[in-house]
Amino acid sequence: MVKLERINLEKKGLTKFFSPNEGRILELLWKNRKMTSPDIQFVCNDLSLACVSGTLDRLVKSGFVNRKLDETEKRIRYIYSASGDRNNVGNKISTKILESLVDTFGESTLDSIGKISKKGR
Amino acid sequence: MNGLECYISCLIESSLLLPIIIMIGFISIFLFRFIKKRNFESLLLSQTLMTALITISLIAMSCTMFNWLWIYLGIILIGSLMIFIIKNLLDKDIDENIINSISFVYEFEKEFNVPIQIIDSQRIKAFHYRKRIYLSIGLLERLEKEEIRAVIAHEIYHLKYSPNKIVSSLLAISSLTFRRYNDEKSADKYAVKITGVNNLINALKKLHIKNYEKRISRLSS
Repeated sequence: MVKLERINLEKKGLTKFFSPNEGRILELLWKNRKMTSPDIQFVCNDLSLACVSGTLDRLVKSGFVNRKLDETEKRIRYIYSASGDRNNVGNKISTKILESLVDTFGESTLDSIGKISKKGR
Repeated sequence: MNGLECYISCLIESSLLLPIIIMIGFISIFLFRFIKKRNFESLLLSQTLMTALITISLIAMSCTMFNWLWIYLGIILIGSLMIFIIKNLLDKDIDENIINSISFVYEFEKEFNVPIQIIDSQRIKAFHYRKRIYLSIGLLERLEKEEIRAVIAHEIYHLKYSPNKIVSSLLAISSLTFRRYNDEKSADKYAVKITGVNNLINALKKLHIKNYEKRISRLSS
């Protein structure tokens, strides 16, 4: 899961919650559904092999990306896919942040959520 | 009387000390120079003999002025104790997720007669530990089969001929170099002998291993 200490609301887009490389790879997987690591490396050719590999391992460990082993007689490889779409990720992160806010500020957080949802309507 | 005079007078007065010192010295040189097949072991043995030689001399002569030799022996003793304590504290199993039943590596296990474990990671990893070779999926998916053979052959060399870290650390202390023995060059040569130079060069290029350019130029020359 996204670590709360890594959240930076001053940044833009997904980088508020993920590192720039994690965000970039997640966007790629949402767009292409299934990709191998050489495919990802081909698109992100400005990133080193170690950087792409490390980022993929982190995304799998945190549960935002799934991987399946594809083994044939000649070759073995991982096939990557996002574990959920953009909305799923949004839900996961929102829940985590809200739980933390409610835990710290209690009722006042719930009031604020009520006000925001009224505005939204 | 200074340290050197004390040493010389002790040598002259003692009957068996000088022949013992000369004999151990010659054995050490012989071991270091002529046993080339297991180069590291001979070096370690000669280091041990040298340490024994110094200890015998010190005890026999009782020259209080040779304090620096006692300091040297102290460094070896404390260093060795530290290594064994650290080893016992840190000696654990590999902290990696292992994938079982990968048929892809069976033929390599058969060929080299060594168990190969596959690490569930995209990162590039290849190492040996407790008579097994560990390779990551990230490494396997980037290389052709012959290149994988080259990597395995490199690790086989380490498994069969390289000293373990404890022995290597002991030597680093007793030689006062405080640097571990590095035999990557010999492991590369061994891999080239088994799989050919191009396969190892290709593997190093594809994996962007640390110092790979230096290693490739060494292999090419």
